[in-house]
Amino acid sequence: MVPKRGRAAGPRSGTERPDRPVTNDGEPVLSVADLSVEYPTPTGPLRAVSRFTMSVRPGQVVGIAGESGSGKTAVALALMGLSPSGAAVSGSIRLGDQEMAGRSEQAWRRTRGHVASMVFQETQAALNPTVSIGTQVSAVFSSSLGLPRREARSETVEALRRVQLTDVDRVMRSYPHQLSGGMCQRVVIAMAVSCGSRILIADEPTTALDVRVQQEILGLIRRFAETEGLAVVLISHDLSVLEDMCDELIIMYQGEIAETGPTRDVLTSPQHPYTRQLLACSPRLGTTATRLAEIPKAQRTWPEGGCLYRSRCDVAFEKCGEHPQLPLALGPAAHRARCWRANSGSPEGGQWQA
Amino acid sequence: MAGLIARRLVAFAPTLLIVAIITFALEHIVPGGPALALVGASGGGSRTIALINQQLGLNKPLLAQFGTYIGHVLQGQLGQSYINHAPVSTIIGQHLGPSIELIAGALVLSLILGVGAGILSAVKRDTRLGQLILTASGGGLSIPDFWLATLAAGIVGVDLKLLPATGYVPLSDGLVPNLRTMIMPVIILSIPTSAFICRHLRSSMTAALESPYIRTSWAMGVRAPVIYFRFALRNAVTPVINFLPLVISGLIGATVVVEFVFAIPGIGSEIISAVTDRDYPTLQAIVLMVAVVVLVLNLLADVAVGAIDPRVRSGAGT
Repeated sequence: MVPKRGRAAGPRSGTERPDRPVTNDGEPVLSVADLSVEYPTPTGPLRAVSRFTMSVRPGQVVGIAGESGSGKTAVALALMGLSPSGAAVSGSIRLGDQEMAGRSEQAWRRTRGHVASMVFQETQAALNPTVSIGTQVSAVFSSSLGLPRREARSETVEALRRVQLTDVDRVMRSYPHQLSGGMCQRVVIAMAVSCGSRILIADEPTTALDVRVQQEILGLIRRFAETEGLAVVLISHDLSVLEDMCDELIIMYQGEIAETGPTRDVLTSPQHPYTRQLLACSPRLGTTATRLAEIPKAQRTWPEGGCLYRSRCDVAFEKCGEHPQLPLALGPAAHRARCWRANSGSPEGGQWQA
Repeated sequence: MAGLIARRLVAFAPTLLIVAIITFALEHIVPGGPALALVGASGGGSRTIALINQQLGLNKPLLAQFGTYIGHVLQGQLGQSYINHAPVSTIIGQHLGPSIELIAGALVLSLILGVGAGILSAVKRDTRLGQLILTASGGGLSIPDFWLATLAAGIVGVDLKLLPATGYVPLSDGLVPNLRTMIMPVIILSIPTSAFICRHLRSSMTAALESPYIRTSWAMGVRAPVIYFRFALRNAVTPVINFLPLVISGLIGATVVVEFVFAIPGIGSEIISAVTDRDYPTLQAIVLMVAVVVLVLNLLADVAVGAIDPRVRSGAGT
């Protein structure tokens, strides 16, 4: 579904920005391999992300879904080098043509805003309450591109127009508390896409917005991906949002990838019982179900070391005492699931009975 | 902004009235009364006291006395000292210079040290340096000023003879002699004050640096100096500005002790002698003046916060 948009002006087309070629294929601009993140807690390190792997090509939108605490945001922060201090991040993070894992804060600062930017769940809180919008956005231009004040201001006007804000002069003079949540999110997106970033990490960008504004913001992100070849990582717990937006989908469970593949494949023939149960939980228009399914709490405790989902799984069997691996990808965007019963998994497992 | 100032000014008037009532009541709360104080322990009988009461209008009803008092204060007449019968305004004028120099010097030094150390310890909060500044500021807060003042006067002034132990040389007698008498008291006043400012700024700056909006700035590639000094500091200073009137009134209180130890003829010393001599008009005038100064400072702080934070300006949000 392509969201309807009420405003006229669209993002500038690629021809106006010859320095940013529009490509929908080619080499990934973002590739992550074996990313693990551990957060320090008073009771010892907590593994938030475990051997996470993904890649995004220009113009592609890849979604990450999962319940609260599944590690979605931990992945997003690690991709931007914004993990909280004390976090242990290992594995490979390639942004553009640079390996960022283990790099200094200085190196990350040169990367953020130029190669990769991020949009957050908070809308108003993500903007500085005591600095006018014009000053906040132009600070991005003067920092990233080294533009003098006046040029930064005029770039700011242009950037705010690109995110289809009207009455730009008034917005520039406004403070965040004077704008709606949707307008604030447009401002944040304007900052994110304006200084040459080829990668956008959007962490639940529309969760705090009402449905109509949500569609506008998602449409804006989608259009930047299509017309300017922006590589987008979209994080959400809302499968219907991801279904509309994403080319590929990653389902996370307890810091691991449970299932990944082309969005349509994952949602129409889910291979992992967790994905199947997530789908059963999400409301759909046009269905007559009166009560949504819930994922059961842990039924019984199992010995350590097996499949993480086993205690909540309705199709677990003896084999699940062994931790299943995500099968190796046999081609780009292969549909894979970390489940012994999945089709693509071990030959011992068959299609589970629904 | 005009609206904010108007709102604050409306609140200003009743506070001022309450302050006037309290200073007026000073004279009448204390046992003995002013007439007895004037006559002194040696003094005459009840006839003399009645005469004095009549002369000073102290036999009139309290409300009438208060009316007269307010009338005089509004005309700038603060009365005459009971001790040497000089106009109180003259007495205050003579002692104001050293105190203003002391307080202004301590405030400037405290702001430089406290703001600098506060920013540094917030930015470096995960390092040993940040922890060191925090510990040092804790120490600075807990050192009693009278103890430090006595110790400094004794060691630096008497034993080492680096600076004069006591006394005051006015600025008109030359900058260097003046500074030689002021530098020790100013530093002693600045230690707890800068520690206080440092701790407050550290906590508000840390909150700002860990906020979603600063994370946004990092994520968009805004340069570190802009983030620290323009974006985070702007939000972090408002709680500190709200505390500054309190800091300054604390400084005024501390000058009483410090002026006494270093024998500086300022307002603090004058308060002590006015209390000992039961010189009520002088005491009333000083208390009133300090109260008005603190009120005006609060007003200025509100205006400054309004200038920085648009939410305060428009009366919206918190």
